[in-house]
Amino acid sequence: MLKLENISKSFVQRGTVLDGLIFEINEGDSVSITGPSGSGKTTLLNIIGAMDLPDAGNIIFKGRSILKMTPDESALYRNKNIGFIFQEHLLLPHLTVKENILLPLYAHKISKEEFNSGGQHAKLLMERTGIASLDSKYPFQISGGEAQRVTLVRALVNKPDILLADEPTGSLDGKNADHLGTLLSEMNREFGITLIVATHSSDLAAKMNQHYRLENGKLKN
Amino acid sequence: MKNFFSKNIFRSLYYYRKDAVYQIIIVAILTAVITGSLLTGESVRSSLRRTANEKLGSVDIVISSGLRYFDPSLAGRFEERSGEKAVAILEMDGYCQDFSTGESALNTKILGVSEDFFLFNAGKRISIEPGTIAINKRLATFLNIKEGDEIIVHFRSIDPIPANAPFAAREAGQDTRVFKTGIILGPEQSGNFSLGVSQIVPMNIFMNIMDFSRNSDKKVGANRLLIANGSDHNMPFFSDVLSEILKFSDIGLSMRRSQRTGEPELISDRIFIDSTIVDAVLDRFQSALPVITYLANEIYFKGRSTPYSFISGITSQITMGLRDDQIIINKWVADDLGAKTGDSLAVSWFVQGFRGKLDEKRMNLIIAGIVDNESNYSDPSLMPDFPGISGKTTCSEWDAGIPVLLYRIREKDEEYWNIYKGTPKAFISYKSGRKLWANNFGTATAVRFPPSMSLSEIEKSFTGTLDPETSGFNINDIRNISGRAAEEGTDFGSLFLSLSFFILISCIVLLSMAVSIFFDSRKKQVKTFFALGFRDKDIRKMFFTEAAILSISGAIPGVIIGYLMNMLIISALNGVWSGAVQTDTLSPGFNILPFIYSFLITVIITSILIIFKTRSFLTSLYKIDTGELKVHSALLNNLLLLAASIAFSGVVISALFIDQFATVLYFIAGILLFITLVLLLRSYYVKNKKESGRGEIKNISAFSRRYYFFNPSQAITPVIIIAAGIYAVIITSKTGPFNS
Repeated sequence: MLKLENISKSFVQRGTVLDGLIFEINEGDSVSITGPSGSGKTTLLNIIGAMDLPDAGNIIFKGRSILKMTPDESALYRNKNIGFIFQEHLLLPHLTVKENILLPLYAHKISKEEFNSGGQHAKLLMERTGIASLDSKYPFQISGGEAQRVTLVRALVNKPDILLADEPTGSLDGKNADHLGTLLSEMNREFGITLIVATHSSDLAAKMNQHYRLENGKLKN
Repeated sequence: MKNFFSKNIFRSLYYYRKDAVYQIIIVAILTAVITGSLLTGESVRSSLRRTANEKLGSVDIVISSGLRYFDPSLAGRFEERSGEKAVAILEMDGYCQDFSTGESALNTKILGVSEDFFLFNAGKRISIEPGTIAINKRLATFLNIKEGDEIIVHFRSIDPIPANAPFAAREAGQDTRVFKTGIILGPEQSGNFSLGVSQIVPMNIFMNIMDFSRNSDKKVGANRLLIANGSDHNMPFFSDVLSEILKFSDIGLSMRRSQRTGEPELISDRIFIDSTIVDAVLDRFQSALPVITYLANEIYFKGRSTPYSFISGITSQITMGLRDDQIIINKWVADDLGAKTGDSLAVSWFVQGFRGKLDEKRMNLIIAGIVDNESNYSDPSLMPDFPGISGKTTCSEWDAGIPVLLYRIREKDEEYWNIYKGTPKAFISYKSGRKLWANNFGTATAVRFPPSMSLSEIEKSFTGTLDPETSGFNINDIRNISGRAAEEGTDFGSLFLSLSFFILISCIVLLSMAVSIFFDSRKKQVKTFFALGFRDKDIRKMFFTEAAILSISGAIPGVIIGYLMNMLIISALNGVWSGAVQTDTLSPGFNILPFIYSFLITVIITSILIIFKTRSFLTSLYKIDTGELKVHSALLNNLLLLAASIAFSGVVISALFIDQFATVLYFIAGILLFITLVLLLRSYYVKNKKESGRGEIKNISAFSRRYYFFNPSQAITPVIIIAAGIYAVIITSKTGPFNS
């Protein structure tokens, strides 16, 4: 489903972080990527999610190069095919939990039916992740673990093909981290979502099917 | 989606209200400064326009006779011929004092008017009783005068002979009279009437025109003809009408007949007749002969002298063929001096020098002949009507405008005066006389016609042919001139905008920083939208709309504050800065255009700033997670520095050679120099490539350099603000309206 061919990326101050990286992932896979800080895990996820561009190489998603997309196509790709979870929850503080979750449905013009269907899916996910009762609360009224679960639901509301999680448990305590990790692997199993998780956490990594380590700009099994 | 956008924008604005308020305040200040400045300019202009109209009243055209006086009946004839309302007044400068306190008001306008003036100008008949005056409120306030108080008024006596003309009587200088204040006139009663183009509200005294003469039988002349141009005639129309109705008497000329020769002669109440009129008369009547008579201080021959004698330059049989160095004397002088034909005598006389100084001239002349005392040339009317001389019973009573040394006047001189009056004692050719005695006031003292011609025939032949301009009249479209002066005065809008340059630049810099802070606080929000697949243009639109709402929210109170600021500035211009506009009658005007302009200017400035900031902010989003900092190109900076330096040098050199645009070029050069210096400073911060590395920071200076290497704009911004502040201080102290 997703194929990375000889991806390279370097920065003026950090030097080369990705060096001819090759990577392929199939639909429904769950992959953990570990590696030291600054090894390029976030850069790799940003490139996969079309939030950053590589210096060289190509990324093929379902047979199409995402590097040849226009900015609008790129935005649509992020909206429909990718779900993001970051270390910080990145919930909009002025919107309620429910409004935050429905945000992806507002990014592009969709029919009322599609919107309602998305809403139903959101409701299902909220119940599934145990945050249904938080729908009218604001982000500052919920805990960090709850916020990350809201982020997870928001990332899944558009039924993306790939869920990219960048240190999703980095700011959570052990219990919440474990809960989120479990939810992630369950989502992978139940909804068949392809999951790529960049993490330092061996516990979270252990919940994935495939394990990679990013070293010297390359992924190693 | 639209609903979501609006909901998100307003919720977001509310959530980040603290940052939003800063932005609103800055935009409000920016708008207030622009609105206040533009409104002040408009207020000053409209106030000056109003003052100009108030001062002129109904007057559109003014015909001025300068220092001459014309018969006020000219107004009636003008009105009848032109169909336009007209009134004649007497305008002169003077000063006055409060009788009880002695406090003086200098530069007072003294206006001799009849009640027709008020009817003409204010549509209301106001009568000033003889012996009383009306003053305007400004003068009343200045001297703290109330109706019924007495005022000493000093003014120049009405004398057709200008004070600097030869033989103007010295006693005909100033007149001082005490008047009772009858009425205090407001602006609506023509109290502020003025024909001056200045915006200063005058201090006016309105006198009954008859009060200008102590002799009630003597008619007082006017010097301004005020006309309302109701039918919008062009200027040549007024000149044509005046030319058609102008008579000799209107320009101080009159006809009389010599009792001795029976010749009709044209004389002037100014003694001398203007050369243009003399030439016009001689052109029309080939048989007319000019005369110029002058007072000699002394006729001297071999130790003997005859004092104070009139000498005439005439064209006649006896002077025909006379050379410039020849003279004919009468027998009385010949006897007095013991001179005979062929002898050379000396003649001396005074001429007016620089600033009225009298210079004595002397000339030797050869006696070409002697005429009998009782000949036809013994004509007392050859002496013009010198006001200080004519009608005096003895020579010692003369006030000839020159020093008369009484001890030199002998008994025989008094006897001559008794018998012959001003009969000239000597004659030269007119050509020679004109050379010696013609002056700015004229080239002849009379023009004589053949005895067969009648006075009325001559006078009639000139009616309708006199050119107003050459007769000393000036016709001015005073309303247009005043209106232009009000429009072309100092543009206070631009002036206050320049003076507010510091505030404007500071506001723009602060706004830029406020928008940056506003956006910085929203980085996560932008990243969220971006990651969730919102299109760049939609994200930009949302942020732009938010910032635009803040700008408009700031601009609306800004224009209101600007209006209040305008009121404050106008109040200051009427008070502590009154020297700047030379008036205290400014009022805050209300014109919608400055509001619209300043509102649009602010919205455009802030929109450009926000568009720029939004774009650069979204572009920089890619860099957020990488930790990459922008490295500013030293090469690009140096290239810009070089370009600015070359442009600066080029403009300075051009300014040295192109005088016409020197001011503008130096202004541009100043801006380029400023840019050059800023780039030079910037080059200091961005030049060291080592700073981009991660080497050890050894001291606080290296720490600062490292910081500013990545953020040179933060080092430059305070410099720009301080420079703008210094500019504001210097320009305010050097050229501001407060520097009066």
